[in-house]
Amino acid sequence: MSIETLLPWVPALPLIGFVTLVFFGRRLGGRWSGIVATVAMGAAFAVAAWLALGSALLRPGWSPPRVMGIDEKHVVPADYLDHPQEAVYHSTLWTWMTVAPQYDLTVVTRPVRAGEPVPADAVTTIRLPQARITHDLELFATSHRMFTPEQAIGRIARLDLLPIGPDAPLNGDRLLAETTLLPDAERAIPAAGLPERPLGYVVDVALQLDALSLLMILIVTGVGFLIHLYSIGYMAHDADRPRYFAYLNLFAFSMLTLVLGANFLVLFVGWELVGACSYLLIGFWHKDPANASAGRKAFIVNRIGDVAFLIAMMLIFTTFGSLAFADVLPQAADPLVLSGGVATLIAALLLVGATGKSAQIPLYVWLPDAMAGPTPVSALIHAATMVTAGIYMMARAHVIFDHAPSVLVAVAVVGAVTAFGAALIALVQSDIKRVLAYSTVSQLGYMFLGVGAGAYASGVFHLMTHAFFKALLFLGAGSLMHAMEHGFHHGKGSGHGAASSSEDHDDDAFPPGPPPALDGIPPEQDLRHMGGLLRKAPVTGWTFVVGGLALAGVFPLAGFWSKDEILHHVIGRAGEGGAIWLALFALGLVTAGLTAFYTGRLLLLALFGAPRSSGAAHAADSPRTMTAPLVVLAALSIVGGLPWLSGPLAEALDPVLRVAGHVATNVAGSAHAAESGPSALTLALIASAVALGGLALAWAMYRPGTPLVDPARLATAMGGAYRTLRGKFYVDELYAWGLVRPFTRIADFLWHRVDDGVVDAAVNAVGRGAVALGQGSRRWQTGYVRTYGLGIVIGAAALAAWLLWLV
Amino acid sequence: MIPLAAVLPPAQPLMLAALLFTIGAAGVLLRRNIIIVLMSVELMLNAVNITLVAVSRAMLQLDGQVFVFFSLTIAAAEVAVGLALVVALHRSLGSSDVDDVSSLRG
Repeated sequence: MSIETLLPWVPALPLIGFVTLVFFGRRLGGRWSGIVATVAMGAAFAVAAWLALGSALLRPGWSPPRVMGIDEKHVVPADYLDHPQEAVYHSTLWTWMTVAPQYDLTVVTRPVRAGEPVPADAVTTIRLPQARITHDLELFATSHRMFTPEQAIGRIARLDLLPIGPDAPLNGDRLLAETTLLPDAERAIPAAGLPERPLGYVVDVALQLDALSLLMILIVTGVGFLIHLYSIGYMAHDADRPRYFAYLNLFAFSMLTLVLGANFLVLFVGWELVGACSYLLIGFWHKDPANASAGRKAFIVNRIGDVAFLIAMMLIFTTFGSLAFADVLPQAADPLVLSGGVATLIAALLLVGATGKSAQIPLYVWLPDAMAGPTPVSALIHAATMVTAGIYMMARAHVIFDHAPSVLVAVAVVGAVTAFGAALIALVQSDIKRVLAYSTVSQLGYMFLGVGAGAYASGVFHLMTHAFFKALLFLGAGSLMHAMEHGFHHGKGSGHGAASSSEDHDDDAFPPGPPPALDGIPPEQDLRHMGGLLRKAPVTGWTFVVGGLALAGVFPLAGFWSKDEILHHVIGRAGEGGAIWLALFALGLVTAGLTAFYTGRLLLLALFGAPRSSGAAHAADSPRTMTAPLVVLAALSIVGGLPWLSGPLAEALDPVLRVAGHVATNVAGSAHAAESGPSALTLALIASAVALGGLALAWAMYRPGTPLVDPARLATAMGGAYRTLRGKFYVDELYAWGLVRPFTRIADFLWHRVDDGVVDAAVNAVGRGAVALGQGSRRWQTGYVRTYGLGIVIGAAALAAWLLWLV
Repeated sequence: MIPLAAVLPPAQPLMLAALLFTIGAAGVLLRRNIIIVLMSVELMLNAVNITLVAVSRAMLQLDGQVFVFFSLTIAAAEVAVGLALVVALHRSLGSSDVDDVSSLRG
């Protein structure tokens, strides 16, 4: 099968799984629902892998035919054309809508004698907007309804508006616009309501496969499949599994639509659908109002970004007359089409959209709360795939960003500050999922930093490695929580007898059952109750260590390579001059140290030392459906970043993410910028030293036994700073005070005064009026036959009198 | 076609009909006993019948007189139904006063 026919199956398979589960989920039961969903994801992954093998995208040195044209007015930069264009496979499913017609203008190009039909060689058909209507076009006529020259000369311009597209009607549905031709034809045409730019455009539901989307679907289906598999074990005791797996499959479908869409609108549909799935899955255990409100928060905060994205799409449409990547992006490379101001506006709006979906300042607040959902959901949606949609979108639209250097700097600043701030918060959290959540925000900031530095491929590379090790860490955390819960129930269920029969006699120190929640954190995910889990749950523990070291950026694990690449490009920008890049590099480096520190703290508190609760003391490793994905992801976290993978990957991504030549002075190209900075080896050594330093500091503070530096004393010594970090910089409180409270007040006002006082009051008044009218008119109904009879007689007499009067 | 003015019916039958109709209408409106009301309705019907016969004769056409036979048969049926209603009403209300039948009163 060809790639074009196979491509729609990638999103279709999870969709089939979703539909199956919606209709037959209850009948299938929880176990079979999980199997159906996992098989659907596995099949999607198989198709994606087949596409990867079958397409020539990753074959080095392959150069497909050029797709871009040149005309004399719009010169596409030669540099852009000299490189082999990306291999793009299009699969158009159906035409969604025709947005606006295109104009066919038939022009009589020279004067013809009166009374004679216009000869064919005097007629030219111009398809607007290429038509340049100038003064020397004296006569307008139409090829369909030919006017005599007397009629046409200086009087009538007739424009046939042809809807385009394969199914466009060519009959009487054709619109006819008529306008009087003024001496100044150039002004006459816009006066007739014609746009100056082409608006004829057909929106297709089309999929597009190139190196970037191929990488994304491999991540989504691959990691998604592993997480589906893991969910079978993790959710084994949940009664609502059919619903859970249906949502999970719907999410996979949405995410694949997002990354495969061939135009901004299909991307946006996927963008909104993943948001909806995120909402559904965060609030999966909706019986707890806190979970439901976390889901609402995610949805509403995302909506702010989505509005900006929507406006950006409208601007793109009015600027380029199209939403398809194949139309927009080559045009955007042309500075004549895309001026700096519009580019900056579009890019800034896209950035706001990306900060919403990818949880960056100022819209990151939803992501930590999103941990209310089941842990595999956090792994799939809120770490590996959905939150990277913003980075994907910016990489996809990078040609626009290339034209807006100031926005690129903003992207980098947002990314670096988010990375730093979130890493600071992660230092002091006790909830294992919250540490990972802030770590995700921080790592997404890293990707933004890479994108902002113009190193799109590095951002996407970090996206991929992060998907591996962060999914691993979340799944590992879920597995640890599972183990802890097992331990709590062990202690509770079999009591003292079972505990004494176990080999750890000192465990009896803990009372059976879960301890009370501290600070509202469930005990099984509280780091203060863990400890020593590496011995109790070895598979989970060791894979967790691998994931943690990859996150910390320890050589030679995946995180090291991708983080190093981003820093490399940032310092390369600094070499070009610009203190801001140096500051951003420093921020990135400090963040790397912080990352290593909080990762070390996480690992030491959870896995090493002595158990600190009955749950940790009696923990047991998770079933194989849960540990197998952990092992696979751990393997990917080890090999996923090695240069033998990153090199060809960057090469394959290069045509998609190439920075157009004429803006290369503004933006660092991926290759040459790095040369101006310190050498790659020096940087790698610095980054490694920072990472190891962070880990060493964590060891000093949280090592088993007596710490070299007591974290509790440090916390008291730096009370203010500690409380601020513990309170997450009080951003939630700030938003609640500055945004939520005014809005609720306005809503209250609208509710009580406007809605109750005006709208509902008006409706009630109408009702009361009708009742009063009825009360008044019921007197007519006396109920006496004679009254009615009298009415009839009087009426008949009046009628008779009238007739007589007429005669 | 004979001009209308030439065939105006004699005044007496029409005056009788008008008188009977008025009496009937007054009876319907003023009497409260439902049987009397029914009888008054019959009076009004017969007043119309007289008019039909008189005009028919004046116009030298039989149509009106034939129509009266229809009218009479219908009236007979109507009386049968009407009396049945009276009986039913009397059974349910225990009264034959039309003013007692006022459950539709607003």
